[in-house]
Amino acid sequence: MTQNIIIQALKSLILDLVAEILYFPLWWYGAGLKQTIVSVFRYIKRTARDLALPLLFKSMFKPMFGQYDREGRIISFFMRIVITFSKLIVFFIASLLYLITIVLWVALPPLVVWGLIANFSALWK
Amino acid sequence: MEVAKFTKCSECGGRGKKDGRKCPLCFGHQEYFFDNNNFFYWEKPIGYSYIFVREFKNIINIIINFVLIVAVLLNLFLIAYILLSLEMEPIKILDFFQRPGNRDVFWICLLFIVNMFLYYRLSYVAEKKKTLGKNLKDSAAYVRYNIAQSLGPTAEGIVDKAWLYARYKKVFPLTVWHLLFSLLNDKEIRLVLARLGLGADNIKQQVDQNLAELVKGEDSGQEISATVKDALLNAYMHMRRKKTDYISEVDLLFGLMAASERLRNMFYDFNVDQDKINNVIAWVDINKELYRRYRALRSRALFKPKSGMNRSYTATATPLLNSFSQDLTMAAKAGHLPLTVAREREMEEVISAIESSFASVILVGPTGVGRNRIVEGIANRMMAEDLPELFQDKRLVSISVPLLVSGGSDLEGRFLAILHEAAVSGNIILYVENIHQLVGISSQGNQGIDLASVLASEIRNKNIIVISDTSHKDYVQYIEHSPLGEVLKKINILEPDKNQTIQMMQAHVGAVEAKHKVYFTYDALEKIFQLSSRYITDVALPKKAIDLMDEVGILVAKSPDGNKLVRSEDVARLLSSKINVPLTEVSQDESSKLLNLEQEIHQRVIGQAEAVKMVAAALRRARSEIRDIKRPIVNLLFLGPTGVGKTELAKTVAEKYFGNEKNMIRLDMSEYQSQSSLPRLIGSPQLASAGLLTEAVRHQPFALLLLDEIEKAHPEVLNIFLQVMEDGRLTDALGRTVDFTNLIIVATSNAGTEYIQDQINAGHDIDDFKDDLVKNRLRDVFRPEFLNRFDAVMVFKPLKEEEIFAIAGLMLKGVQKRLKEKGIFFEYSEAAQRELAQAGFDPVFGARPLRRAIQERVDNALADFLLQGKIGRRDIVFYDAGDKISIKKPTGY
Repeated sequence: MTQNIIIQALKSLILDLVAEILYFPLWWYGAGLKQTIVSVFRYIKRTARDLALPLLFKSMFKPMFGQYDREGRIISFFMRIVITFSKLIVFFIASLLYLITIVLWVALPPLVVWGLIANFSALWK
Repeated sequence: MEVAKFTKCSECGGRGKKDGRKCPLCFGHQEYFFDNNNFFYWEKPIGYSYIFVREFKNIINIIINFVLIVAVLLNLFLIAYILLSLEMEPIKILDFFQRPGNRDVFWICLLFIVNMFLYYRLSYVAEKKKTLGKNLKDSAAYVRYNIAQSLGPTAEGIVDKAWLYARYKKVFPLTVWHLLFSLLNDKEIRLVLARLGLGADNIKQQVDQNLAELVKGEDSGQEISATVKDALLNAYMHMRRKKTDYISEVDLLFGLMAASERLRNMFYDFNVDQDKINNVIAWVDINKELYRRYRALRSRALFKPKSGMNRSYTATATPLLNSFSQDLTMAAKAGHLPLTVAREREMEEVISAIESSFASVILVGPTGVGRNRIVEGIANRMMAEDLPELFQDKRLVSISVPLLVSGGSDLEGRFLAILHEAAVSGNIILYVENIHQLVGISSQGNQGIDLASVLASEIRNKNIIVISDTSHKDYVQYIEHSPLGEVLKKINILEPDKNQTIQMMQAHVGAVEAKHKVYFTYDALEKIFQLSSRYITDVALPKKAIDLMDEVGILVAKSPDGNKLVRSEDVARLLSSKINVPLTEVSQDESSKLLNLEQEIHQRVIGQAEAVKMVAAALRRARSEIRDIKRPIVNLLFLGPTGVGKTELAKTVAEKYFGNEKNMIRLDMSEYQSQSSLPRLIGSPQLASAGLLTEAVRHQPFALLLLDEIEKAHPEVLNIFLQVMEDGRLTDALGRTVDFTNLIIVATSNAGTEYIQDQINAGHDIDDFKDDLVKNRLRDVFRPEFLNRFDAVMVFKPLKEEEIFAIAGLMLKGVQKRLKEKGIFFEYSEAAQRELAQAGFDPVFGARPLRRAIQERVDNALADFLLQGKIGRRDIVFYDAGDKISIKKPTGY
């Protein structure tokens, strides 16, 4: 009986594992990909918020530090352009890195498989 | 709460098969539960082999994950090693990967696959749960769901263990008692039980008893009883309501309580009902939720600017404002502001009022209601930028009126400059605590424009948004008809209800527990709420509850018995000693005392058996809490001639119920014979003075209110008491509501004395003529509705000679006691006592002449002796008939 149970346990375990392995590629390009894309866009949005980009665009023509005179307004406008521009650069770099994650996600399986096949023979060298 | 129950399939009669095929209605599951277009069933193979397989799989899973994690680490190591060996040069790296037949690249790729697989394994499971939950919630989607899939790993283990235990005991199928037994070993369940004030061992004993009654039987093939299945279904439903992913241990406990009546009854014997269990489970969840909110706030704090500058750089420096204020958003960023609990509705009200019309608001509520805490909640949310656009990128700055006012001359100029700074900066919302302090403040005394008007004009011009607060009284007195009243939108902050208060206490209890190293039971919290809301009347909830909680914490921490569990009795004990009212559960000792209260009272009051009996019964009712808590404890009317013990009985009641006869408010109603005396009683709005009665009750809310000679009061004055006796409260001239529900009201009256004396002389019993007395004889004195308000009317008989004799004895004992304080012993003969009784007996004046007689014949003589130096310490004074006083000097030591 004990032997029976162990065999049963092993059988169910192996079956589960095989099913899991077979579903792996399907998940990678299906639900996994979707999840990655969604979280990448969430990160991009969060970066924009953390850098206060929407706020900066909205207050583009507002004078800085309460300098409501003409000189203040002009200086503020140019200063704001500089600030916004520099923050935009940071934002684009961060976004690019995030987007690369998606590209990597898609490209990783073929690359890895190709790497395995191409170097398989080296194991017996 | 609705209890979910599995239905046996009507199509196949619960067999799962029909005509040799799978039943089309229940899909072979035999029982099902249909809800929100979802078909729920329970299917979980259970047995030695299954349990073994599950356990085995769990172990293997852990091993697989461990191996995968090792592989990930190995991969990182390999990559780092290769990169280092290639000296991190891009050309070399490119060359390395392009080199054909590279063994290292093979291993890296292989490990990469392993990494990907691990990621898939971990996120796939979480994701599966999420989609399923979504589908189950969608009423349009028909889902067939096996609730066994939602069992969390711990809960599954508990069910398995319960089954094994049932097998071990040879009881089939698995019952709720087995499941409960298995649950009791769980850490989280033990925590819940501790909060309920129960030890797991007590419950275990009960479970053992119930298990012993279960009959050992043959394996029927049925693994789980129907009630256990229902329990699991209810556990699942509970989990869904809580929006968690797994059925946890507490869900199982909830399910068991919902499904099994016998189990409910067992807990009920321990004074635990289902509501209580639900509330404790909610308590555990509140703590988790608070922690989640705290973490979310902390993570948002990272991105809030550290200086007063906003993120769009439009703000200006505000040095003057800064020196008179505290930046609440900064305090929130630093994590100094506590979380606001159960005040979401009020916070939303403030936010939408401000947002809708750029309005400024005033929060009006009693002291202790937590107006401050609501503003702090808004500060926390502003810091997290979790508010509408109007609030974003802004600071909430609390301006200190005392600091501002104490800062020297030219108040208006400085205040204007501060407001100007705030307006120019444009990113500031001002919070003015106790805004009424600004009214009437100006540097030219009462002549100039006050600060309140300055602020009001700035608000009117929409230069600034202000959140302010004050109490009801100050709002009516200072704000309502001032310029500020016109520009501030009033938001009433009410006292929290029971649930809200308990939630607030639960959010705070952790700090108290950590501070005093004690542990609160749920009963204790509930008792704190009950008693503080009923007996502490000068502060509002939740402050009074939280303060009381802190005090109980200290009391228990310092208790010599070393028990650190705070129970409801501790709360009652503390409050009882603070207000001198018995609140603790009636102990054996006390209950026998209460049952023999008549004898106790008779030690002070002689005769009047009927009146004493009724008073004792009223006190017993009050003590056992069988009374209407919205009225005074009891309203009594003592009728009878003078000197028969009416006041003495009232004093005795005060002593027995409130611990001391001094806990008595005594009003001589003959002083209130005209209507113009009414303001003396309840105060006068014109003079802004408080009333004698209302002030006395405010300061001494737990006492006996003695209204002497009530028949002499003006009818308008009696009307006041009509309301007090009915509603238990009275509003004084200053608009304060005074609570009368913790008073014993005793009114005494001589009305109908002649009639009583005539009836007694004619040999009638009180019961025979009492009805006639109350209904007919008193009609001219009191209105029927007034008499009706009394819980009991007690008629005192004129005293008989024997009773006067006993009273003489009591009075002589009084002399004895007073002399003993001077170190002198006083003794008297019975003949002397009788002589005094005879001298002091007067059928009209009762026992009054007796007091005079003792004064003249005993006290006066003793005073002379004392002054002449004839009596010294340790002397024995003997008083005999014929007013003979002899002194016996002590010999030796």
